[in-house]
Amino acid sequence: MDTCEVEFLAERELISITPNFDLGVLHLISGDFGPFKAGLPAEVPLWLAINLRQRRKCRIMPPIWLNVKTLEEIKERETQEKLFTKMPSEHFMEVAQLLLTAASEDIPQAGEIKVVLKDIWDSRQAKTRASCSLLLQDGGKHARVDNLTLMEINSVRPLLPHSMDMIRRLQMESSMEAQISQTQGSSFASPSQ
Amino acid sequence: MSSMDTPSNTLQDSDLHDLGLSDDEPETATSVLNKFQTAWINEKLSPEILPYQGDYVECLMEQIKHMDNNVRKLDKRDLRSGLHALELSRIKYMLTDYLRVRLEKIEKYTYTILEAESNRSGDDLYLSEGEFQFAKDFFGNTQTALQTIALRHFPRPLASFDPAKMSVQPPMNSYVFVKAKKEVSGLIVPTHDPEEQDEELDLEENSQHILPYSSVAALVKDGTIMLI
Repeated sequence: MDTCEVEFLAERELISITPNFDLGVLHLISGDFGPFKAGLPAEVPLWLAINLRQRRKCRIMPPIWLNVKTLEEIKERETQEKLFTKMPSEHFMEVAQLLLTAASEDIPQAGEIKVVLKDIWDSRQAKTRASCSLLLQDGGKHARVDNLTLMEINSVRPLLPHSMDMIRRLQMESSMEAQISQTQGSSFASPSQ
Repeated sequence: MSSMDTPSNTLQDSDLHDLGLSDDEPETATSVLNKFQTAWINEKLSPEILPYQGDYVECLMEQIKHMDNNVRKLDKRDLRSGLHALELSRIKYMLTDYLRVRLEKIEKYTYTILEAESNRSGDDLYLSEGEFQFAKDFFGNTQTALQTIALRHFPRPLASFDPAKMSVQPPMNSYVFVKAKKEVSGLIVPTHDPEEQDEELDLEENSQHILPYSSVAALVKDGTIMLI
């Protein structure tokens, strides 16, 4: 999958906005949203929020986890745990990126947030590389990948699945050769009777 | 009162009622959209072609047509029409990409797909009528092209065409990332080392794994597992 397709999926996440216009309920195929009253918060999908924000029709309220303090705590936990910890959102990276680009004035301390976010991403990427390496060395046939977000899973495609496939084929080759040499060994044994 | 003010997702369409699966509540457009998104991602990530989700595709096309008509009527109401149009283009993208991915697989694995499909019937078919026709035409055209360009110039004994030998098989053993929507017990992961036993796995609900596609193919098709 392309990164932009992962972002496309992330854009369906719901987010709070404060509109500066009045409108009745919006009956979309994806659901009903609103009614919109200027100054009162409303929940809409991210793609809708970004569009309204770009048209200066609303302010976006950052999700509860998008602040320096919470992200620092997440980073601490992530660096201390050996396994992957659960992230506040299945699409935390995409949501953060989209908001920081389209609505950075609505997010306090945007600069610091970017730094902490990058640290979290880097630490999880390092863990990913290490676990992939371990998995392949053990002749990986399967693995559990809980708490990995879609963006992170996508970042190891196609490398990890292809490598595991390669290992499988090499194992098949070597076991076939072992079988062949076994049968050949026994047929060499018989003429010497 | 503009028709945009009526909830369009608890629809009047007979399609939605036909879609009403056995014991579930009647489908809304939103739930169809969500289920279709899963089907789309499954199709993108699976090595083989999956059963055609005709019901969902048709339902969504109806919704789009309906919405398109309504949006055209309300051009003055600037805000609404822009937002509806944006949503429509998102849904159209999902639909066209779904169909595009399937056509790519048909072009790659034509013979294998046609063979498998000829052994299926009725509700069990994997291809839509249009796709089946496309597959047959594509296969015929490829044969004609090869015949015309090369084969007829070959010496008699070599001038034959054995599609079975030339066909490309989808890599059923390739690895995929999966998420278990329900608990799964006794999933078998075959090993190729004769010294080892096949492994049997239990998957917890909502857990994520990387596994060979062949082990989970049936579960993906019945909805127990989704590809991620």
